[in-house]
Amino acid sequence: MRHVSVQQISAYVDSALTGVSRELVTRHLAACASCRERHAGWRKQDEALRRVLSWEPDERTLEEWSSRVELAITAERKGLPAPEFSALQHPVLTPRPEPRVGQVQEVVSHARPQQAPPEPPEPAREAPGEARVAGASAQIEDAATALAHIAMSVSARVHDPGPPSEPVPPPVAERVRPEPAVASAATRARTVQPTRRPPRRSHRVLVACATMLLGVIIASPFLPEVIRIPLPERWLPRLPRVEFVRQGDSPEAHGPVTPRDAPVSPASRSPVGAERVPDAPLTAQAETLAIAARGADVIEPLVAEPPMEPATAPVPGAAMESQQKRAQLGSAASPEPTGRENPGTMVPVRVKTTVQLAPAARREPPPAANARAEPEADEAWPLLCGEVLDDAGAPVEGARVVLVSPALTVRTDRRGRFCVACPAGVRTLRVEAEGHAPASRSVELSVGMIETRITLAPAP
Amino acid sequence: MHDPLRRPWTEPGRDPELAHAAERGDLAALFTLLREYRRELWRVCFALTLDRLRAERLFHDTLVRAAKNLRSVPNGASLLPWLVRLAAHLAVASSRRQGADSASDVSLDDPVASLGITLSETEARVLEAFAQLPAPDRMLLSLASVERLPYAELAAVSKREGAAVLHQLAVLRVRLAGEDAA
Repeated sequence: MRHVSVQQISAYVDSALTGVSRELVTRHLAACASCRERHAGWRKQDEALRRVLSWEPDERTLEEWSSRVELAITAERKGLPAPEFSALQHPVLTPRPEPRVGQVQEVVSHARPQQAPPEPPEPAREAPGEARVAGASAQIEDAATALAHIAMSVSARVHDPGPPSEPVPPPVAERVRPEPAVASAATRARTVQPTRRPPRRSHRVLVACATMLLGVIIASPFLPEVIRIPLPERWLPRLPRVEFVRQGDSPEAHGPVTPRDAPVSPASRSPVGAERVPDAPLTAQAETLAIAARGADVIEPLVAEPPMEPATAPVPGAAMESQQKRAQLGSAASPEPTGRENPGTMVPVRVKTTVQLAPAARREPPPAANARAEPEADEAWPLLCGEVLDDAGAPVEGARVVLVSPALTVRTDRRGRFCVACPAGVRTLRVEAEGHAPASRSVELSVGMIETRITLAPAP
Repeated sequence: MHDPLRRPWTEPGRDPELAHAAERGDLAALFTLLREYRRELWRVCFALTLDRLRAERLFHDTLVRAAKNLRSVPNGASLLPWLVRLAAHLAVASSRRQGADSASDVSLDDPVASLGITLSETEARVLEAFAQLPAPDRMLLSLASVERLPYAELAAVSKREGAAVLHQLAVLRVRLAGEDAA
């Protein structure tokens, strides 16, 4: 007879054969006594191994072991010394709940009297240095009670198998559940001193704060003296806008300084286009006045500005100021000085005045036929000043006085006065005001200052 | 027969997710992962040491070492086979440190006295022969006999071929039966 191989028998014991292979081995075992004996012997070996090696601790013991492992892991992660390993003195071991009738009965009957092992053999097996868990007697009694419960439940299960149940019956599990906290706490108290943890955390916080404070103190000399704190927009002071205009620039470049066509609100006290002029230095003004008094050609004329408020004259205006002063000195009907009316912020600037002295000769007016559109820069333009009144004789403020040639536009002040420097010759003025009919006037300019009065009729 | 309700040891389940979280420092995930297989690990540890105290120590050391080296677990694999191999490795290392012979590093009286059970003559003989086996062979035989793992899982856990597992189990059973001497 051809025997089956030991591998086949081993696989047959493990129930790993299927189909034809299993059928062949089954038939052979039925026919061959030696193979059948070997198969039976191997099955007994497996059963013996299963009975001895399938013991496992109860839930409480497993919980304590797990807690000990977790404690060791946590201590290691935090850099603390690992707790000393101490084996449980009397772990409760139970057989693995396999539905084997005879085996369970035998195991339980043998396990019960062994729940109080003698003390002396234990220290001999324990490694030196291992601590004993407190409450050994209490654990023994609990273990005995637990095993009694297990035996009762297992015997009930044997007689009535039912569905597979969890390894630990509920009453035992429920009863022992509060205890792991106590036992594990006792274990932890013996193995690790966790009470230091809160103080260490607070110490770390204190040390961190002290380190930060020390760092700030050490770094304080290197910190900037000025620390910018952003403020909301509405907190910032609203300063007036000041523009500085360079002397000699074209009138158009002055921008708001010479708004020829810019509308002016009637309520505005400042003259048209007048910037909040900085006060020229006193010395320059005095010098200009002195030069004006001598009748010398002082400065090339710039854009006309009302002469009555020297404080509001534009910057390029040391020239304008000199002109205004001269106009004041030379005008017979010079109005009283008004003083500063504009409460705007005055920013002092440095005014550079160029003075050219020439003999005080009367200049011949240029012939009308040869009137130049634009006089040369070094010639003094006569001043055309005037007053704009309405039909009631009241001054018209903000009226536009347009000089056709050269194209100049000025506005009357609150007293209806205007003053513009223009080349000598016959000049046409056109006066427009809101609510009034426009008016035109031809004026002949020669030298000096010409005063005129224009009366506006009401608008139709 | 193998228990059809038993979850295969090679089935990863939530292990990859928990292991990944544990590697990122999630202690709760780590502890959950280690508690998942403590019963199976204990049985393997006891099969490797055949001594309650040493098994308990091996159980503790295996889990602590596993917590340190979770990165060694293959991605997407179950943790249990890796734990079992780690326990076998630590058992061998421990026995070598103690200077005991790897083939006979257990004492027969220990499991019997520590468990408090009475063995028959056959069982005592089997256990004595079992104690003479090397730790990896004890692990393999206990996985086949006690855990009743199918050969595919045995091969995955022991990192051997299926045919090699089949052959080795047959050899081990022959040795346990004492038939090799005969």
